[in-house]
Amino acid sequence: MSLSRIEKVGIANRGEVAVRIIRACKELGVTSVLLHSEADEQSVAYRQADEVVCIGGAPITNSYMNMQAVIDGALASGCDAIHPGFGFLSENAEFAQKCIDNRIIFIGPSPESIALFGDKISAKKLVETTECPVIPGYKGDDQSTERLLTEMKAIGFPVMVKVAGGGGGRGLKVAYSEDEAAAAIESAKREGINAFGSDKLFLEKYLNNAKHIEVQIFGDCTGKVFHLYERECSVQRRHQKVIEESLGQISASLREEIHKSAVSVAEKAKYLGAGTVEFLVQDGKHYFLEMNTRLQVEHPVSEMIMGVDLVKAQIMVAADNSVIWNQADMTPHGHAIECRIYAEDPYLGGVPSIGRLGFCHWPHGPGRRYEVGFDEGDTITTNYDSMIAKIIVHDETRARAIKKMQETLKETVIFGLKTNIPFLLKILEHEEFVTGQMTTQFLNKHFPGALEPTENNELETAILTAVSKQTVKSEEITDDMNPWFEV
Amino acid sequence: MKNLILNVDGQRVTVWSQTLGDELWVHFSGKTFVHDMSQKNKRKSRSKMDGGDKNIVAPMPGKILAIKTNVGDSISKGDLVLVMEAMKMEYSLKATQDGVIKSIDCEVGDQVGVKQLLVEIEVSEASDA
Repeated sequence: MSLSRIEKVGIANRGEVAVRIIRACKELGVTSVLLHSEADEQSVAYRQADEVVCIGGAPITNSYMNMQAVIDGALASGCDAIHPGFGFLSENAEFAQKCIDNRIIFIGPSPESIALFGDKISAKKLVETTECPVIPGYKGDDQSTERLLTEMKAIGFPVMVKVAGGGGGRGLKVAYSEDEAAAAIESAKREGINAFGSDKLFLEKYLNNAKHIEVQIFGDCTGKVFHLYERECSVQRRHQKVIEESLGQISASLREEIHKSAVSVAEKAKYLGAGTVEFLVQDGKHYFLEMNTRLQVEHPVSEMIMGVDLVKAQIMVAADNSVIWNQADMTPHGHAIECRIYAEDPYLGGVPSIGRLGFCHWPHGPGRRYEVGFDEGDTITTNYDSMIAKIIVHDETRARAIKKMQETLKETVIFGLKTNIPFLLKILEHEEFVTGQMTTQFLNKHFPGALEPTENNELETAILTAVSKQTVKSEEITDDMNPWFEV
Repeated sequence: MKNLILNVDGQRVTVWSQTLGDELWVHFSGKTFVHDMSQKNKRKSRSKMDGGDKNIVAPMPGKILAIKTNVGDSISKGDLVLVMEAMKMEYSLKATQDGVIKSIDCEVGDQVGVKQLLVEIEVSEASDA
């Protein structure tokens, strides 16, 4: 395979996604150039890339977020394209334009598409011209109680009543039923006048128990838009996704509607390449949240069930090579789950655990996939997020995939730094997760704080003592042996 | 690296282990354990041991946002002692034992390094038993 328009790709990213892109380049016969910061020489991507160019210091503003440094690095090494990965400059319209201005292909959508979806207001305006539903609300000038009540009924309870000038939760009331509606309006108006001198109210449907469902879409260079089914990412903390899966736990009829909505949005925007339309789903209805104009961290779960390679497809359409897919033939197979492995201490509420990785063992087996950014001897620093790797499993059913993930995590060995694996194992066995009922409230509701350390049982203590005796010089062993800490 | 096969109390266990500096890391049956060997000598005297892991130390470099206790305060296991910011996120550091605040060795706004002692706690006799 040869891509006449792209011979050398600059990778403006780090960690496991940089490795992912390097491998796609190798398979396509394209040279890869890692555009890295001074802090990232100890990484799998640095060792795997065909060429490396240091573009600046550790702080992201000096390197990964410095547009000129990235462009200069790409030009100096003769790249004809840049893959931005995710995060950093991947959704920056100005950067995409700068690439074009420097005759470098930006592997992603047009700067216009990025700008359109990057702005919440223009995105919502576009979505409102399609069949895709947005979160219903009312921002009209008629502020009479009768009108507000009518609008609340039209929106459907529960409804959030917000004071127009309010913020930080002040002047915010939720009416769970029609009975509470009048009181919520009255109290919000009163609070609005007292606190902000205005009693203008906004109404919005209150989604207090919604699932996060997102549709992977892909715009071919011929203008055709594909959907690659949906992912569910309801297990999240501080808007950070922790476990993702495909398919989502929704009904077949809703699934079809959501796919239609996602495709209609992407078609309207004449979208090119990989993108994700995110929705909130509650009470069997879906509402547009936002569109991400890039590859997602969790793209592997879609690749596993759809049997496609999204990163190679991205590079190919950027080089004007059409994908070979046919929507009618694209059927999902089985179930895939991804866990993000972070260097952090689950017994301290997820404080990043920084330093050098010791021995790491990524146990292979059928249906297991590892996206490893850092390995034995590499250092996790405070400069960037602390993700070490992603583990993805694929099996015939969701129940089997959960079991496979549990066994894979238990077999995975990471020494030197603490990881969130004990936390992931707790989530995977939680009934609400196992039954697929979880919503975005799941972690806050069931895991609000740090994990409680458990006492080592007798057998564990016996094993640990036996290991110490083999490892530590015998005269150092005393009965008053230090306690062992499970990490 | 090769793993060890141990027979402990008639049970066959496959174990991974590695010594990293002063730490001995061990993995078996889906769990990872770490044992700090440098603590051993300090532990010979029980009185010193009481202070050992009970103090609040910075788990990573960051900034102190709030100190929720005063010297002399009695605290219970799980009580919030201080809040720090690291990598743009807030973390609550809590007491791991019942005790009394002996000294506060940092101030709000301080930049602190990893493993820096922040708050010294004297563990109450009852919880030590």
